[in-house]
Amino acid sequence: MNNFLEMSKKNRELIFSYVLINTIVLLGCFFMIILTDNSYEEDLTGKMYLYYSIFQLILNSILITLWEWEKKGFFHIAMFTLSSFPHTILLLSVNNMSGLYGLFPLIIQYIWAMVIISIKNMMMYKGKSDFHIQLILKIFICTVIIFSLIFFYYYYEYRNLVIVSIFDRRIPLVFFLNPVMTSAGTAASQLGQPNYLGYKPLGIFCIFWISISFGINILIKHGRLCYEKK
Amino acid sequence: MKKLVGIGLLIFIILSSWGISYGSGETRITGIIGFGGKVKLKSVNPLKITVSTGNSGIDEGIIRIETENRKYYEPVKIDDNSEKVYYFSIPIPDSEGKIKVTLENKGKKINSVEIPFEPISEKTTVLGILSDEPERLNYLSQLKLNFIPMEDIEIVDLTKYLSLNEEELENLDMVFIENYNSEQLPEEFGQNLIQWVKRGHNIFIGNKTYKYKTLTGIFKNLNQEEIWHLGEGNVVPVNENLETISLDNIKESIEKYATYLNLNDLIKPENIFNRENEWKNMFFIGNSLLKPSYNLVYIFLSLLIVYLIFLIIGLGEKRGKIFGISIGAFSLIFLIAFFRENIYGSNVGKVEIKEYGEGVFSTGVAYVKGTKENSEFQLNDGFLDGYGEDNIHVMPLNQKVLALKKEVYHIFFQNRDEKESYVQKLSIDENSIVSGEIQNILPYDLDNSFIIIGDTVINIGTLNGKQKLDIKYRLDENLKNTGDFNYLDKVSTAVKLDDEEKQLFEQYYYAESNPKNCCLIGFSTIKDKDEKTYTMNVFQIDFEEKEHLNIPFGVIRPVKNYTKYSEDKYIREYTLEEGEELLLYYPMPVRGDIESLNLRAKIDYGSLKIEALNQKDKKWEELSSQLFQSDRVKNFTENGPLTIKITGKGRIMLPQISLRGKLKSGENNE
Repeated sequence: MNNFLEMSKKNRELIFSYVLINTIVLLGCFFMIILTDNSYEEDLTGKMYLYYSIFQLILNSILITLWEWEKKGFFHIAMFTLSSFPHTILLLSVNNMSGLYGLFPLIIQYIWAMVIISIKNMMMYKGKSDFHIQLILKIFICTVIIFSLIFFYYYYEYRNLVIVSIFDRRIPLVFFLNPVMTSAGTAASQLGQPNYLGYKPLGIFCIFWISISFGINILIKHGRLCYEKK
Repeated sequence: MKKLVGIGLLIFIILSSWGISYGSGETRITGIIGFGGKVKLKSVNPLKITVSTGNSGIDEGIIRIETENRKYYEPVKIDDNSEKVYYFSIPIPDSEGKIKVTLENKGKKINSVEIPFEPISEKTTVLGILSDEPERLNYLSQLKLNFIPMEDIEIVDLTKYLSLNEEELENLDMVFIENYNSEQLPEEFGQNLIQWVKRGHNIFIGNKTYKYKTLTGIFKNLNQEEIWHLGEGNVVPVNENLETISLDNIKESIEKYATYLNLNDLIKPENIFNRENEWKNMFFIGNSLLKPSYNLVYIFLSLLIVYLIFLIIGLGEKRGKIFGISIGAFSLIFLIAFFRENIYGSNVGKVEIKEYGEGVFSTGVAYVKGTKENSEFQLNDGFLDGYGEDNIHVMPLNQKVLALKKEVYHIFFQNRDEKESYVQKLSIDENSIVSGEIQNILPYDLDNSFIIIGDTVINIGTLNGKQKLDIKYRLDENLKNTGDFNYLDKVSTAVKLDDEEKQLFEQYYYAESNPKNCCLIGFSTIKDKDEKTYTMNVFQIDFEEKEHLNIPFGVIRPVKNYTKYSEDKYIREYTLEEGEELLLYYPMPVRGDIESLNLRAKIDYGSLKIEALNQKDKKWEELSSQLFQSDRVKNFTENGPLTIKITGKGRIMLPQISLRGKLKSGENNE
């Protein structure tokens, strides 16, 4: 019970830098809003919420590659995601939105972080070097987040799609495996953009990535743990 | 078996006798709407509900009123064996609907009643009569005017409705007083009636046989005066017995003193539902009014810094627990602060147009944000309407609303309060130079203020609270010959209005039924503890004249009457199609003799024929440069509003007129 709050110093530093960067970005945003002093501008804070949730996700996936797995790791990663909850709350309150809405980006971030960590664990189990682990993780993240967006752009051009919102019926659900798409879509529909897909994208995202990280974790459990062996 | 029947019978007798004794103490509810059941559609009608209780009182009672598209709800408390009367003001949409009144106590239905009514169309002219023998004035229903169209006439015996408030009095078009002791008028009703005249209505009062009765009380000073000009309306003594006077003579008086509001009521009656719909354009401003104030943001941001400090402390060796706990604790603190946010932010936002003229008239939309289920808001407005939404209860008597869900609701409100006059005076000379002093009578700043005098806009900028400003300005008519779009555009660029201000100004320009073309306008935002109000303040300006009458171009707004139904609203322009006819009525100032009249119009395209009505010969005369020369001007203006007819096909910037003349002497000009 005592040590479930205890984290290694490296992980704590990671969380601290995550919170620090988030705070600086948020302060910058508000500074901008206060400077323009357009108190009737409806969109500005709404857009801020949307872009900030994307930023949070990307920052999260960059930092999580440096994470060191410990005992009670699931809980620690939850704390890592939760550490930026105050920022989300602040943006929600500025936009006059329900507090429950803040849970959606948290869930997406948590699942995504778990996937990355699982892959990292698997590679450690296989005894890959640090360099290779970092390299493969970065390629994986780039593929899912950035390359899939590029594919999506080709698809959009090739099919001559007319898209009115992020959760549009014409976008194949496969593209919502990209956490940025799902996160942006959820935030946009919370802000009032039309949602033609309901909770389908979120459901597909959760089911797919949870099953993948579970699968990896089961694989690891049934083998020998590389870092314990050392 | 017999025993059983006997017992059954006994029980039945006991039950029924108990029922009878209970029934004698039953709570009764009766109601009457409008003028004796006659209801003017699409406007606010008085509803009187009487509740008489029996043996059991009502502790947590609710009166529910349901009409076709509205629901009202009023908490009541009544002692046993007593009677209470409630006066409501409700709008009725159409002749089909029903009005259902239900009385509940502690959530249980006690009694309900359906109130019958007889609809009067909104185009009907309603004449109010104050007389001891009202039936002798019934011949007035045969009234037909010479120049002004008038549909059906309904006569209302006002002696039965001496509790009408200002909003309900608006249903009346004119009032006739004869054979009535004016001293009998209740004080409040008398004041409401005077206010009603000041807003631009006329009272015709018998000044012959029953002079000793009629010219008493509030009309006492008419003994010395020929006519009493009150604000924009008049109290006109008729030197004949109204009961026996010929209709022709009455017609003359009515037409001669017709005001803008008079003509507007006859031609294009006010529709409260339209007005509410037009205010829907303003919904977007209110949403931003409800945003939490920056205070909350500052509090959150400083909390974030504290959070960071805690994390730094937690970074040290063997302080892992502090780190973990502070993440959890701060998430919780933020969540709690978020849910208690209503302490900092405002929950009621209002966007309104407030007109300071004869009394204060404000219209607008209130936005209430239910922070929890069943939250109550005090709005303090005279007439409230919840846009027919189900999840909001309007309590008209308490001037409160109850939001059932955690959502943002829109509520239309309308207020007539204060009986003082706020009209500001400027003077104008022969060379169209306006001079005088204007004042921001409000204690707070007016942003982006400007003066509009007919076709001229004068930019002023910010007027501080209570600031006085000397004006000396030559009317340069910078809005001359503009259509609606150009007019709005020119005003907003001249004053540099921002989007919201422009929207509000447009709202005023298009939607107000009696807009002033001579006014000082300024914008203000007031933040109260939990209310934020964004107001466009309109101060009416009048010209202070000593001898001369001088009305510049554009100040007199015509009332339009077009034969074809047009979806679009035109104020300063009109596009005529083949075979269409446009009639324009320019109400004439009755305080002076008109000596010269200038008219100007701009035909954008097409060929149009413009004619003016010669009231003396009762024929139309085509417009020419000699038409209004010297003596002939009186033929067009003396017996009523100047009437212009436009036919043909094309687009025209509506004619504007300017008047010169002499003020009549020896009249009471209040």
